[in-house]
Amino acid sequence: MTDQNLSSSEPADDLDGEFDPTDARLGRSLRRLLTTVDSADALLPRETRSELLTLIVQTAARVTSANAASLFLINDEGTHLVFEVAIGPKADEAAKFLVPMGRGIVGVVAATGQPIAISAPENDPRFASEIAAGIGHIPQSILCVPLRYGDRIIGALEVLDKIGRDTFTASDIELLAYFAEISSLATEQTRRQDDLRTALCEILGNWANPEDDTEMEARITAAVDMVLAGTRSAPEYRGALQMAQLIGEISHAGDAERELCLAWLQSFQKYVQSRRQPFMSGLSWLQ
Amino acid sequence: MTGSGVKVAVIDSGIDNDHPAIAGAVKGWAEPYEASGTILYRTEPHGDGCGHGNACAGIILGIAPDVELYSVRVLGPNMSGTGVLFAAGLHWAIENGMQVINLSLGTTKRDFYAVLHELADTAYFRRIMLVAAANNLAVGSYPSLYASVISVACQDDPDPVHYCYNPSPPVEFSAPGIDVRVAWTGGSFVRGTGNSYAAPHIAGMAAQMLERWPSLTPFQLKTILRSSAYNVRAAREGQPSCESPPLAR
Repeated sequence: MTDQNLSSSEPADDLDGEFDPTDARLGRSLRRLLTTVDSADALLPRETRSELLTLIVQTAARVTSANAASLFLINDEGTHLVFEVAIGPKADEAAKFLVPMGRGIVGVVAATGQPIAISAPENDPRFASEIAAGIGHIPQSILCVPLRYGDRIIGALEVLDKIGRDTFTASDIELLAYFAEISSLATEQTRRQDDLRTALCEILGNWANPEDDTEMEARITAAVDMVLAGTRSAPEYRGALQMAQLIGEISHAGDAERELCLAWLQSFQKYVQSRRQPFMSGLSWLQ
Repeated sequence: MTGSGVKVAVIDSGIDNDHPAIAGAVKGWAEPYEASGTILYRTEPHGDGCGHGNACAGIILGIAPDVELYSVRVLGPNMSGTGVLFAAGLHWAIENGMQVINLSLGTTKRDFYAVLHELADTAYFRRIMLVAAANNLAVGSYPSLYASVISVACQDDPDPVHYCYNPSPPVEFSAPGIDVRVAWTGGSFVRGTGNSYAAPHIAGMAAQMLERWPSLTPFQLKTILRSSAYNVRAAREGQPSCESPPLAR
């Protein structure tokens, strides 16, 4: 993304009157930051992460007929899984535990990126019986799928105790995987929201204690770069953000431009779907 | 038919030869490793640090108990490995006279698409049956997506020899893989679910057929597997279809 994409056509006096013409470059930089934030915000959920993830986990448990469910995220050090959401009869006890990567069903799923569905887990060497004992409940069946964002595993979603059956089914694996996908997206987007908030606070904080313009511009540019190329976001998200910015620009260019852009996107979407269909139908048959 | 004399490689996390379900069936071992930028192979006996390889080998022996098993270990105790070592393990199996190769593993990394594709085609032209499990999630993984392999997913039917044909590839066959009892670590057995446990059922049946017809090509084997599939036989015999199409919705 270059400056030209976002603000080369913006006159300096679009900004508040406190800026004189010598502040034009600084103003353009700030405008670019705000445009970036605005575009990103359009992609972000309004709910808080906790509320959204709780809703997702509750729904996942309901559709897979599970008696309990938990969502874990890998900590920043990559060493442990942290309970982010736990629902069910022993949710409060469960939420107190840290699970080492590779330990227990959830740890193995997070380490390998492959789902696991088992029944009678007390007989399975992968089952972390000491954690279950600490929680005070040994489940009868477990299904756990990874939370994947791009090529990275960021956590795991687990449902326990299938109601009315000894084990979870392959259809449950597929269903839970969809919820895991939504959870991953919600988690990463709210992380991005945190990054944006931090960047804005830093900029506004520095504004209260003005330094020279060159340094301020460099700080804003760094903040924009951080938003666009933040260390915690996957390339797909950055690409989506850039697309949102471009679409935002085009939509302000006029009705004809907006309609043309929409028609082109719809046409392209149909093409993409037509290419994907045979592949996905083959896989979904048996997942 | 018991698969007598047929060489079957299990490329996985290793196999414990002293597990009750294996009972000394493993006749050879290979474990690729990288040293000074080249791939070398350890060929001394090894075990299974996580149970996944035992599970696959046990299923194969349950169907074809007299096969000669070869353990090619490319996954570590935490069930993960690298694409480079995976490709090296497959290369070893192709170059060392294996007739059936069970692949209950795969990679989603595009970087390995070409090298694994080339190996799969080499196996196909040499009449080596690659039996690959489809990914358990709705993402494509290699080599299960290639036309030159027999791609398998699981179905909710516990009969070990009931398998079905899927006319909509890339998955071509389904076999039992829901809550199946499988060999695990330390002589234990567990119950598990996944496509990993479906592929070895087809690998075992492939070994049975190769015992009877050793010079089958992969194309011929697929044709026989299709003709013998539960749903195809049911349709041929005038029954409505496979009574419960495998997880079809």
